[in-house]
Amino acid sequence: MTVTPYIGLGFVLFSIGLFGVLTRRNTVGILMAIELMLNASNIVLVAFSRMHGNLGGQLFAFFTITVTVAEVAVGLAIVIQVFRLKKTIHADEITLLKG
Amino acid sequence: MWIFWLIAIPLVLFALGVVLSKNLFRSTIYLGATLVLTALIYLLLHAELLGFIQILLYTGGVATLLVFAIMLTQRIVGEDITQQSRGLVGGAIASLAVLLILFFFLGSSQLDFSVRPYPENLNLALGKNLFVTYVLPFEVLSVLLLAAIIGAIVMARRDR
Amino acid sequence: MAQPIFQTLWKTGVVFLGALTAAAYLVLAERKFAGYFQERYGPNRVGPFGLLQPLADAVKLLLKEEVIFPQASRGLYLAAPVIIGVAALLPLAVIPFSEHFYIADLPVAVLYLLAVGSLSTYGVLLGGWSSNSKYALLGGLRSAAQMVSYEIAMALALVGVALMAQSLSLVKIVQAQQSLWFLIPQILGFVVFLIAAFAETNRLPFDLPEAESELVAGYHTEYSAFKFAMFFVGEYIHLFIVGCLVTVLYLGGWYGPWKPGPHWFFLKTFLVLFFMIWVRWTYPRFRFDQLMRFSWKVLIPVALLNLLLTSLWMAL
Repeated sequence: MTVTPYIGLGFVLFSIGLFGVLTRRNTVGILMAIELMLNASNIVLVAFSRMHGNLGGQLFAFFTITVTVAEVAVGLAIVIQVFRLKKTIHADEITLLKG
Repeated sequence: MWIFWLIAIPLVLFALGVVLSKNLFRSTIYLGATLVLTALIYLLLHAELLGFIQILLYTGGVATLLVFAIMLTQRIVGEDITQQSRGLVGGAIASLAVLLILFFFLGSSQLDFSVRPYPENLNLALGKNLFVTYVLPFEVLSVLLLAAIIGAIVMARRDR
Repeated sequence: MAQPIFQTLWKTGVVFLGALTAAAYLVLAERKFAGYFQERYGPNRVGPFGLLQPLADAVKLLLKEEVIFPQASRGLYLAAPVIIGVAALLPLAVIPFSEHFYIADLPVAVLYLLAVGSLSTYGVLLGGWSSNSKYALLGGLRSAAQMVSYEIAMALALVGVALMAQSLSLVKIVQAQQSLWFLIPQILGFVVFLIAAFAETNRLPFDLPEAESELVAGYHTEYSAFKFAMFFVGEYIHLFIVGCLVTVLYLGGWYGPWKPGPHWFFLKTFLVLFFMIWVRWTYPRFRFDQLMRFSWKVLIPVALLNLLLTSLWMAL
């Protein structure tokens, strides 16, 4: 058994996530596409961990999941606050920093 | 091997659903399905602990996202507010280019992709690695989580 | 641990059929006990003492008209009861009914239980949203908030048990209770787990997702016939599994005086279930803010305290 298909799967999912980040206008949609990309990188990490017989990759994926959860929590809090302020969740209409 | 394809093909389809669906609620549901199927992929790779942790952590996370999707896009009952995408062609070209580059590196690599065996007692070895070798990142992560919780609460509060 | 494939298959068949029968008779037991608590007879027309009532109910539900109204999102609407049914049956795979009778002895069984337990949230949310009805949607939202909050308390209580047994495998957890049930050293965790279990099974006093007087029937308001039966049976299988889990985790599983065996397991499970039915017909419903506050400000701190005490005890 080789891990090549698993790594290929991770690459495909990563590109799909990238597509989502580039094309979505909705902030929550962008957050979800980022989730997808992180998930894809986790698959590749676990596949490499299996390939080397080394547990470091699995543990790194475990850390990534934890960071992702934190990221979603803070991201959604920001989305709520922006929604209250600007009444929109479209990323290209949030131009608070342009002065 | 056929089990892999049985999981991988729906996985890719659901992932496409996440980024293409017009309805935010639906794309969140697809995201949930993607994450659960990824957990099955982990099981195939003998990462049982990671697979179950993935389902456990992400179901809570995705459920919260769903609630947000409903709150932000729907008047309790009635028509949904659709979400638009922009620059579909450019996005498709860019992400396909990235995909091609990735596969080019995968194809041209000299690595041996065959599987090497894991240690005998996998969960014990994982625990030892986590709490001995990688104990510093683990502790740093707990601080990060605490900071994230406090940050989320501070930012989501209505009045201050 | 490794068993021949046909042995696993017949065990799976027996366990699943057994659980479905148990769920059907739990419904009858609930109605009977409810009757006695309220000084009436309960169902007693079909068969002796109403013992054939579950069969009659099943036939009635199967013969009713299937309603799929045009405003529903068809695919998700049909997927919800399937998810509920599957998520309810999955935990059965790791429950050890006796020393040798279990489908699989997973080394990470406790995590598995928590993971598949959380899947049913999806079914509830999907059912609530795709029905396109405000009662169903509100029920689904309430249930999402409730299940996510109480799951944390439940998981923290389970960590205490895993620490005492020094294993995540349910078989090893029961074996660790041969001399002393975890009920005694883990009394705090036991109380937290039991309360969280009430919330996870959406039962009174935590049945806000389907509170009849406010939401008609909550997330399954718009379901009829067989699809409703899936929700209903799923709920009672979930209840049965919670009974089994309390037995396995805190009441010493198949151990008992004289002769250990599955009869002890089922006796304890029945007592736990009787207690849960008793509570349902005794207490009024919480208000939603009370429910959330109770989880975050009482249950989770108590579970953390229990975890701290357990780790101190194990370290000494």
